[in-house]
Amino acid sequence: MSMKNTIHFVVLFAVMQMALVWALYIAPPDALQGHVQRIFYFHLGSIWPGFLAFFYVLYGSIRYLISRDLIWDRKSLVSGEIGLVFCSIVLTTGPVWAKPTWGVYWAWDARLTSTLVLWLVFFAYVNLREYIDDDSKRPRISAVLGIVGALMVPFVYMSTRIFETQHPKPVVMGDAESGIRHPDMNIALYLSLFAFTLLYIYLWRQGVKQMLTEDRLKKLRAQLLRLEGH
Amino acid sequence: MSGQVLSVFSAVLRKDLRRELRSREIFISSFLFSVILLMVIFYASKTSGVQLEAMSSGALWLCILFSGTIGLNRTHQSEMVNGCYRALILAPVEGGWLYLAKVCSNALLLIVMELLLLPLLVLFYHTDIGKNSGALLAALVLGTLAFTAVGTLVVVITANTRMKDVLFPVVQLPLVVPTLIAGVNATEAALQGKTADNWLQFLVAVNVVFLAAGFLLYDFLLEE
Repeated sequence: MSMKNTIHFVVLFAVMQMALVWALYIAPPDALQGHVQRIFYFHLGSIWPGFLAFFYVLYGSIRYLISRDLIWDRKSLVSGEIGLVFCSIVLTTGPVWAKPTWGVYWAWDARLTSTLVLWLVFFAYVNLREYIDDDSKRPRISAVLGIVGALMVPFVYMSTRIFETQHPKPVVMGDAESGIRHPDMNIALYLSLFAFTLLYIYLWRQGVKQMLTEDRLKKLRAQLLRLEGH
Repeated sequence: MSGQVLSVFSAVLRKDLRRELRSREIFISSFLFSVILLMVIFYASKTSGVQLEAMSSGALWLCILFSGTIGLNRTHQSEMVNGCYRALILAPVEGGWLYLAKVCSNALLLIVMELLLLPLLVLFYHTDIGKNSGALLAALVLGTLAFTAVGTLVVVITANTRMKDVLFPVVQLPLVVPTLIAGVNATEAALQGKTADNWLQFLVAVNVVFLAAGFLLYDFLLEE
């Protein structure tokens, strides 16, 4: 592990621990919802890098189509995979919170539906390439799907404002009457946002490195086979 | 340049429509499929006690979604035989214009089918379609355009895969959920005689975004 990676990992570990302590211990329980509200710190902490990942898929796919450099395909693929994981965390932590608060695990609410749709779209993005036999087409076709899929994200966000929703109002950059008030709650929220962003970047860098190593290994193996005269 | 664009656009559009007028294979199969769906939807939701009239906009949109998906898949597959698609790529204009022509022909066929489905809604679901027919027409046209804008792009994406028939609906349907939600709500409002302006605006936004994206991205899908 390089020095940069080690430092990144140490900072990530420290911030993650602080976020845990603040979210689970220091921040007061919610006045109405009680302790179950604490899951919100990780719920929001995961959707943020989820969205970030999907915007990166959009950016990386556009960069690939312009430059035709395979590294952009790998970068956006890794981002899509991580985004899918974060999206899954959002879709599992949500129901855990919703059952005691709303009384049901799932409601066909605009925000929930759009997150599920996003999950489906990016599941398709990550897995479609498995079904494309032609190596030269694979990154190009995936990039187009990545762009089309990521264009859905603004509609997801718009849907929270346009559709009737029972999902809590945005906490960050929301209306004046919505959101959390206690300073410790804010600290817990921002710590967890920071921790999850660091986690996303860390996972992404490792993933890209792994992909590039894999590509290099494939190339070397092909070279070796040629040298051996197969 | 613009004269050439126009002539290629109209040639592709005319070719698609003429092919369908002569064979009528896609139209008949998707229309019959829609009639069957109307029956299936009725019996599937009969026990829930939902009023017939309240079901009609949802039923109509389910028909558009499913038979539209079948139709899009079929139109693209018919291009693949005898290298038709390769010949189409040779057209001396940007791929985006081919895309727009395809969207127009697919949307036109689907809209004609919807217009034929409306009397069936009146017959089967006792729907009054005359309360705000302008808004109803706007909802159907905008929704269908948004649906085909996404579908025409996705069908080419999945055509490059091993399991195109299965993958097309799996990739396509999640992408048209915003269109479905807005379309159902706009249609429902129009059937009740209300205006549906914010839903129609939402549909216009979807159209602008996905038509623009399709126009720019189609070229990349055509490369061999």
